[in-house]
Amino acid sequence: MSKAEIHDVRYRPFDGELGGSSLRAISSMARWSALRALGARRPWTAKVVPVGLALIAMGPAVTALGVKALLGPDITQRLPTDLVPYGPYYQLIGFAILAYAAIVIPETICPDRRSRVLDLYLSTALGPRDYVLGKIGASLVPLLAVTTIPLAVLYIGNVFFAPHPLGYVQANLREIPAIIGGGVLIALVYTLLGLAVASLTSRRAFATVGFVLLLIVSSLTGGTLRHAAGFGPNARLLNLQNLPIWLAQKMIGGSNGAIDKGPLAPVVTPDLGLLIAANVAIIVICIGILTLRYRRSAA
Amino acid sequence: MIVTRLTFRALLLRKRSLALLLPVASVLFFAALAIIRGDVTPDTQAIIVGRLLITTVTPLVALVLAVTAIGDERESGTIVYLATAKISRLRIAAEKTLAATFCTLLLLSPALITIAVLGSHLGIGWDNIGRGIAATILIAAAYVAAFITIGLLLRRALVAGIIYILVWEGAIATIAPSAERFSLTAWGRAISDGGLYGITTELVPTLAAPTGSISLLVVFGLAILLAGWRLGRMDLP
Repeated sequence: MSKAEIHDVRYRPFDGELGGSSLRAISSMARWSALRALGARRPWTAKVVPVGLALIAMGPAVTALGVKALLGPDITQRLPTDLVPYGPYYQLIGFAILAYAAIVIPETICPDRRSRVLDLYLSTALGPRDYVLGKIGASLVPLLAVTTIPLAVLYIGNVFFAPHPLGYVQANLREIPAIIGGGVLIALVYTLLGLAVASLTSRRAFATVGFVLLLIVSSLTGGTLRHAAGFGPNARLLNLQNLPIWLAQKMIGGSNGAIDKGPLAPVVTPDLGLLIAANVAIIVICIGILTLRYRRSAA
Repeated sequence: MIVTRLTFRALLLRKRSLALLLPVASVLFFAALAIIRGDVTPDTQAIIVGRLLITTVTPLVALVLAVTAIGDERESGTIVYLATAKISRLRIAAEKTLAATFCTLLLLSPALITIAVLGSHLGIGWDNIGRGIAATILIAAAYVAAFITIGLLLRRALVAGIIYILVWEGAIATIAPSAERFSLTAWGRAISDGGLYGITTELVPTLAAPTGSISLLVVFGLAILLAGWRLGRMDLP
């Protein structure tokens, strides 16, 4: 039995040591927002969707490595080392990345507006810019789980299944920074797009549907202008869904091997310079929208 | 038909429903573009009707309206007043479904007129135009019924619907050949594209149109029954 007694309840100013930097506040905001979006301290039903989608994104990598493990070394050595090539892998999991971003990103930003705690945040050590940076971190890090980890697992698995692991690494050295860079690029563009859309509404559901509609309609617009209207491949620059994915594929390089049909079939993409410019434009526009939406007066 | 009337007003008299005209407008845009450029082929018809209208636009419009039809009632607590009215739960579910289906078709009506214009421009005959319109109506009804049921079963029905549309319909059912037998949009495309000649075979599902029609009607009927059953057993706030 505790002997503690409450004699008085009142507010008092903080007399502890001040951090002096907003970095801790940003990282704390990012950490707790990310955990909330992933379902921490919430019922198991809130955790199922992010975890399930991350597992779906891992599926092709685990399957490719599992096939090699089941077939044994004799048959495996006759198969191509990259059973699922790295570049086209993004095409396979594109819908999982989209769904993950559509569900997780609005969760980090919409509840704050809906429950009107934004002013409360901004009355603390956080400024509007710190708040936005924290939310970018909160959305970016979980998204990396579906854009980077599956390819990293596939690469490490391929190293272990290669007849000469060191030789495989030497021959595929440029893929390491490309996998990390490509994953970060896709996660960053999707994060900023998702946050820009979510910043326009306080309702999570509208943000989710708006984000999906924006990406799918833009994807259809680009594809239809290319196929149905006969414009060149640069018409695909309107395809917001695949712009970062195509640039990441170009970073990784390599070929699709003998695959010319199905989901791994190569796609005629816009020119590299235009792809880079389009991705930079998306990033700049989204940062502009977020800055406008989270000015101190607007917040 | 009080539930139908109330749902109809709740769904259409708000700005968010008008935002759904944006994806619908994409159908008009692509059809107009194809006609202006003069390269309307059976493949164009299949892409605009099958891939754009039936696979993408209709499910998303149906999802938003169906989830709103039941979700707003749950969120605001007015579902209690509905449940205490002297109307059977099955009838409430059926009227909600019918109202949301009608609203979906109303929002899709510019696209339905467009595919009729596109079809007559291509000269595919009124039977094929009718198949496209019938497929859209059936797919809208099936999706609305399914999503209303999901809205009664799950609190986060929108998330479940988005995952279903993106992951199952958008990815798995297009990659795995046998999965299209369990895909609502493949059933719809079997109706709309099955009668077109000179079309790329990859664009047409392997299913027959009657199979698609019966399957969609079965989903519609079962979903309403399940929604009625669920409405009678769920804890209301």
